[in-house]
Amino acid sequence: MRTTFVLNGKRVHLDTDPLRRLIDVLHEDFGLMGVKEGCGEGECGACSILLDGKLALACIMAVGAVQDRDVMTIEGFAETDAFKNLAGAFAEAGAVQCGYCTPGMILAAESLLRVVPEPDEAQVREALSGNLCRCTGYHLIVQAVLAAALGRKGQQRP
Amino acid sequence: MIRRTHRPSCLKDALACRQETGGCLYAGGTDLMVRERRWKGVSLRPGPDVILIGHLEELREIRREGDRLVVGACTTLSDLRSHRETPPLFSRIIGTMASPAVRNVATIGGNICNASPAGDTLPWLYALGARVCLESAEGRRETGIEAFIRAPGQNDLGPHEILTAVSIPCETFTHECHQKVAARRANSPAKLSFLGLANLELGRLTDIRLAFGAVGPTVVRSPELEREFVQLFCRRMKEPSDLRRLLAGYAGLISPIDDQRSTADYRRQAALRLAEAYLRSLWN
Repeated sequence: MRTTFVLNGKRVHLDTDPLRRLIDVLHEDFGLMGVKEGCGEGECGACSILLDGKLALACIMAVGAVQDRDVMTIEGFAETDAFKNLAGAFAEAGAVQCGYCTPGMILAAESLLRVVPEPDEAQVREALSGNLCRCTGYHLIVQAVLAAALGRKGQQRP
Repeated sequence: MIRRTHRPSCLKDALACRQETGGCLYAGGTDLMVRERRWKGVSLRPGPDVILIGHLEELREIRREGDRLVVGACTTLSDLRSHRETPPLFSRIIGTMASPAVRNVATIGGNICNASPAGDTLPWLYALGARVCLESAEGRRETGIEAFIRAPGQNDLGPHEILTAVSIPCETFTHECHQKVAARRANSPAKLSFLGLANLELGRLTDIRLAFGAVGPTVVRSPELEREFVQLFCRRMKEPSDLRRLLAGYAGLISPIDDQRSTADYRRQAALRLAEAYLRSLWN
């Protein structure tokens, strides 16, 4: 079956089994290795993507289900100013250790900040609640997201 | 062997496809993809055809019909949680489910059809007396949620039917309580859950509903015991023995099991304690 969707801003077509996992298609057909596989069953958030701008998990999604939809991976998001703001805040706060969860954390943070530009700590923790990090203990990641939100607010001032 | 996949463009085509193939329905896929997963790079296990229905607009509507809220089966948990017509407590219950990324994809219809004893939307649907709408190419029928869900993982969906919507009475309550007991806040199925809803005004109790999740093969609710409580309350018999008798009634209805999440003993004790605390809060 032919599947068509928008991947990181470009329309793509492929002939493949629609029940292949989206994460496998992103790895094998498009070489997008920033989408990490942790648990493979929707528990860890390492494979987070933005689907029509909302957080979703590529390891428990069949590629046929993204027909005509907009998929953004960390590679596509890395081209944006919003990414630079978040990545800077993560680096500044020391919110990255091994880095395996980071693409998912960044996209989870972005999905929150798009809807709630000035979140409080509880909102940040909820937004990141499906993303596991085994290194940092979360505190620095939460601080980074709060700092990124403040940074964006600063940029918007005239 | 690769499973054939169908992607109908409207509900009518989906019903025809279901009639023809008896295919398995894929709405959000968050359970199906986990249950039937295989190793990296390999599609789902061999099995029946798969019919993708998550994209069908007809199944994603939320609308008010008189005094009922009719929720399309493929409405995502996130959309339902944030909808203006969704009662605040139901929104909070949905917020205890899975994680934001899963809620953005998983559907209310999937939560119902999986018929898990720990399905988090189910106690609410039982307590409100929700009805499910089932359609096939041949027609449409409605049935109560408690009749639709038969046993863990088993529902009354016919081989040619699709669950298209769930119709929930819009009611308000003065005393609401929901407790989900789980290992952590996100991505944690309930060890057990308790829902209490009551209308108590000027010392008069007119309505009470108690529903228990994950302490039996299906959600436990007893309209008989609820009526008995209203009567006891009206007679103002604030005897500890009455409360004990009522709780013993529930103890007889629940039948929890030991599994990897919890033990039967813990589930029984915690469920009854939560019910007791709620009933006492009304009594005092």
